[in-house]
Amino acid sequence: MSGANSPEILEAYEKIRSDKDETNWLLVSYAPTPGNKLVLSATGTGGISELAEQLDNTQVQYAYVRVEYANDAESKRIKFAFVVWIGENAKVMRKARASLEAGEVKKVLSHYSIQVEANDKGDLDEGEIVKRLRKAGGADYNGGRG
Amino acid sequence: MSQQPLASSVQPTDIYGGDEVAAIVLDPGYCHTRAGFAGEEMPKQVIPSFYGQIGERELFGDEYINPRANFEVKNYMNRDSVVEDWDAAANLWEWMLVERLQPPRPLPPSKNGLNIGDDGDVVMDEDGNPSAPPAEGAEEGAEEYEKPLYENPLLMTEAPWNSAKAREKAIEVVMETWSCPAFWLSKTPVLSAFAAGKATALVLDVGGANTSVTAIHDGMVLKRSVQRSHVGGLWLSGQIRTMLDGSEPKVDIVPTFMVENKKPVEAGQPAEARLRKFDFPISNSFRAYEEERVLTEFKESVVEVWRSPGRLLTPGNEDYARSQPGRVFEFPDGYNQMWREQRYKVAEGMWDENAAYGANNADESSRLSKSQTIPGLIKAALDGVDVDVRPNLLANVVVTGSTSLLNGFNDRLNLELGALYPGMKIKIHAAGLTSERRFGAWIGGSILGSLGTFHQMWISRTEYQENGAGIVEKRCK
Repeated sequence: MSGANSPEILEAYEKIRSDKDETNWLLVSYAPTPGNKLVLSATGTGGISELAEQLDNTQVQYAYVRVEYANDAESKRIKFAFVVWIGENAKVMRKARASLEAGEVKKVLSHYSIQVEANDKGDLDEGEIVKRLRKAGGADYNGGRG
Repeated sequence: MSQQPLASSVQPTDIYGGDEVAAIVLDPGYCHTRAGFAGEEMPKQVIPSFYGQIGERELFGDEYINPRANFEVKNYMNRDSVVEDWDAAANLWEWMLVERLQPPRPLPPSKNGLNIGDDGDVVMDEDGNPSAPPAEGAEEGAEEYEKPLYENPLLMTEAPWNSAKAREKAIEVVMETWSCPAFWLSKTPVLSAFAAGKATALVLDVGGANTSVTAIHDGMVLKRSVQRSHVGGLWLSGQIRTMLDGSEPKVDIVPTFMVENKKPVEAGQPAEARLRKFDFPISNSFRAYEEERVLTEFKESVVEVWRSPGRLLTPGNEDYARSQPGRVFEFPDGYNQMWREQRYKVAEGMWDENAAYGANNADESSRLSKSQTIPGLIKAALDGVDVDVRPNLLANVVVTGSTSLLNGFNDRLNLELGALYPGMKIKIHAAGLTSERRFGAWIGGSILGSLGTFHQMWISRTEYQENGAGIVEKRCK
């Protein structure tokens, strides 16, 4: 009943993962009313910062974002992060369902290295996320300098 | 909820009675008992766990606690937040669920459309009334359908330190007395974390009788992390009493019911009120209950938690507090004064055992120990869990319980945790709405009880009848 596997969401997911498309983030929200249907609400090319602006304080939303960072001077790595956004002023029943419905969404947006739980915009600091992705990346050819 | 192996693709198939019947969520606490239907945002019924008793009669509900002859005020819970008096508990819960909540009553078999014979005839008895054809096991089940909770699954909450015996007694009461079709027992911190949208969290529950800290990982309680102390709302009231006793002039707490009329007086002047005369002696339990009401108002309007800089006992801070604007509070008998540093001092004991009233008592047992303060509890809880889990827990601290609504509580908590665990990321999740803090565990239960995937987890009446009360220990982990 969640609609997480709607064709639009799948399409956006593929676009983010494709190297040829500029889209690098997507946002899934609940349709206005009633029920708990999930729909694709936005996509974009501006990365984490653009995504952070779109997040709504009164909503529970899920996002998938592509992050590129340089592992050392020569190479670049691409990783994906799954974001669970629980707005501070979201309704209590929505908040509580978040941990469950996140599971449903994860089945569709299945490939990611880290899961970020965010409650306010400050949690989506690009530096922090890159640090976590680096740790998740395994081999560190920069000799521990990060 | 990773502890149960659920096939996530399975659709919930069992819906009781062929219709969606709402489950009931019951959350008993020392000060209040909350009940309502699963799926709703707030419990419909919140009544005090204190009830009145005149002779043999028990009177439940706030409106019946009035000054009367031979009237005692009792509580079915004890200060450990577990049920002590099961008979009174069953009576109070039944009154609450049946009289107050009023779930739709199940229809008798003759009228519920399920007993019409193949040829469309309804079996009649000699009076010409439709009579139910005998069902299997009719003799003992004959009146079951008349029991009002026959169709409502019941989800009850319990403290994380509840005993196995109490759990078995709970399922017995629910199944035998009320014949509920299904039952589940959940620990309050798991539900509070759930209500905050988290499966892993460090839950700080500042309640009436107890403050507890529990670490939840993936929806399961980490048993070695469970810590509690009596430093809760009622302890805070005790601090206020000590403060009032020791202040110059001594302030008597005169509850509202005793005041016939009062004259306005200047701040700090003795009260001028005419007190009511009763023909019968007022019991101590009633007086204490009513005094508690006044103290609760005092807590809500005056008491604050000292934020910064440092702790209240740091030299200079108390004088600084004295110079800050205070709050006025008027007691029911008209006595009023401005409260300044005392309003911080009464709550300081929660954080700093040396600042509590009575910290200098000669009797060691009445003094607060470091491990009973909130920072002490959190430290002990985290010491009881794996080192690897700790950062995740500190980044997900869920604060719940009405006493946590004190002004300045969360800021102080942040400060204390930052001092205890320097350099670690600390994130405190405290719901903004007062109702979410007061009813956190109930709300978690409401969501759990309304989940489709949860329908498979309930203990059904048949399972209880086949396996006995011991099944609750096996299933409700």
